[in-house]
Amino acid sequence: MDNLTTLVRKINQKLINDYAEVSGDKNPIHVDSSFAEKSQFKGTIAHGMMIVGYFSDFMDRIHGSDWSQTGRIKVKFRNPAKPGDTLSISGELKRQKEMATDSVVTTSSKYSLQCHNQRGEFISSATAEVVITDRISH
Amino acid sequence: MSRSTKVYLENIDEGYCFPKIKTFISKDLIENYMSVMESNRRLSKTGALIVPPGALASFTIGELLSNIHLPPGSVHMSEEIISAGELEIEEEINIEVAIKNKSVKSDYILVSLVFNITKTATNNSVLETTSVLVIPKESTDG
Repeated sequence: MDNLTTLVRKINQKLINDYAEVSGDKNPIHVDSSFAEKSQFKGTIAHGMMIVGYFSDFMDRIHGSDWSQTGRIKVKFRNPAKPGDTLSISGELKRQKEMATDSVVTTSSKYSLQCHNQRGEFISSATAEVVITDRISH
Repeated sequence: MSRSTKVYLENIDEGYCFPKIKTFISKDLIENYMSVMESNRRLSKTGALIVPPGALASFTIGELLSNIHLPPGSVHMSEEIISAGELEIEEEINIEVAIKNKSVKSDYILVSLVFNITKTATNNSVLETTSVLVIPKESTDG
């Protein structure tokens, strides 16, 4: 298992625009600065799903293919990420539980994940779980 | 102001199922996504390039957003993703979307949308996601 190295991502408007193109989510709050200036956020914000993607990448670096097969994640958005922000995505293993039968060992790992910006403001939190089943060869 | 032909979430009820969406996940789409996200290539145990769960969840929301109207001030509150299996690139998927919960408050609406994504070829489930949105109420006249 890999260690829990913090993932760092810099957010700028080009990145947000590129994400809007590839995801298909072109809501003006993300891509139209004159529209977004009048919103409660006073400017454009990154897509919440971009943060979800970073959390998913974080878990993929630890568990690889198992993450795509059995992973589950629940993300709460606390504050918006904005152009100019540098995001740090970090996490810790909270609980690992192993159950064994004659033929399989099932390991459940639960994580607590966080995303902060360069000012230490809380952008998002998540809980993630992955279940790995290994067959025992006799 | 005239309202567009898009579906207005405030006008549809809990339990509503959107028309099923079919879409193709191409190699270019995934490589573009990985480039934007500064993400590493993901390979299955057989060596095939696979679709990251975050990418798949993002595309499905993008597909739905092209069919619904989200008023200014709408906020994405939370997102849950449950993987059920790997999806290799160059596969067609079915996306089923339903309104799981909807509660109307004085000036906003809380909506939970559930997405079920299956492979068209096998009908095997690959992902289930739940998106919770807060949508400000809009005037429905005109």
